[in-house]
Amino acid sequence: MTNEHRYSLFGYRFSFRTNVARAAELVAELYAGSEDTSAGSPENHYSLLRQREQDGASCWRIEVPGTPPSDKRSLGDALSAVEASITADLARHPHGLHVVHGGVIYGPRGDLLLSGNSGAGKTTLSLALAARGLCVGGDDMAVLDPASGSLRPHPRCFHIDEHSARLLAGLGLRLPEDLMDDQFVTPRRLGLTAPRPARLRFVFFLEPERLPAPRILSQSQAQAASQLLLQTGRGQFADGEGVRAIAALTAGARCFQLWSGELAATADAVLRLVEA
Amino acid sequence: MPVAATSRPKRLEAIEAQPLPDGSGLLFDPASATAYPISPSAMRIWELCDGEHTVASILDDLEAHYDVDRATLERDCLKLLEDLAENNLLAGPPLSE
Repeated sequence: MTNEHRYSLFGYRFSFRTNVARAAELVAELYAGSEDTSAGSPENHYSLLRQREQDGASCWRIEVPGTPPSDKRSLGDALSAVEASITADLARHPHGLHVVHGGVIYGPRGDLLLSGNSGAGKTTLSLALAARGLCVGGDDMAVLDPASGSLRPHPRCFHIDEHSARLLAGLGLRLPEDLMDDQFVTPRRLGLTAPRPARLRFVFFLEPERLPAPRILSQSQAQAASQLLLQTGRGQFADGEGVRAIAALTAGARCFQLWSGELAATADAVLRLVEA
Repeated sequence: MPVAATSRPKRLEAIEAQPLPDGSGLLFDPASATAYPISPSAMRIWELCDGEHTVASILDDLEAHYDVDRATLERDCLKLLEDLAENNLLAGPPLSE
């Protein structure tokens, strides 16, 4: 049976249609609290349908805006592709908000933004901090309202490979037993809290280079703002609004460059700073 | 091209300066949609680039404000002014005049 669910993320309204109960459940879990009950039509439609091939095997066909339908070999791959498409479309949506490439962690003395290029280690470090007792709002993307200065994490599924899963389990993070089955781990499945606006007190910019031991250097608020602007997905800021909004974001924060070392030592070094 | 001590650097009016609480600042150029982060001392120099202060008087101000020898201040200040000029953030005649 095919079901359709509607969501509204930061004003971006879309529907998700699927005949896979597990897919509907995981997407509902990911976007819990963002269900769209308004009467208007969604702006975009996404679908994930399980299909039988001639040899009896299953494939998962996804349809997302702007690209031809495609078939995936696993439910996790299909869900990840749909979720990535929703996130990309949200970032492009003209909602007047700024999309910041970075994860939001809720800390005991103020919240953290972990920014950095893809592959810099934001997810693994976020989850290592979760294993140390902090709460993760999101590991990859946050949405900044330039009018209010409010920064809210955008929930995304965690991409955790087997190596990271072993490291995190070693730190005591309780990972779902079926983690490697569908490879679509929502923050809720890790027992992490529902996103709330961040009270940013720390900005860490993760450098891609790994060192034998973690290294953390203070940087100026202007340097941090400049790096965040490069990680902010609204492209050019012809009116300076984005610059003002990002500058306001770093204005209340202590800012650092971080080179990761061994995972536990890196998480502990960050904790020492944010708990001091 | 060397910067003359008598030149009076003037910041371009279109540049939006964002001072930050730690003293650093962002200079945003709407024409190129580029933001330049600058240090607290560079921010002080930027504020003195009003078309009235000469380079020499900017150096006097820096010398009174920072516990750094004049030769170092001069080297850093001139380098910053050259960078600002190179990125078209200053108005007026060339700094060599």
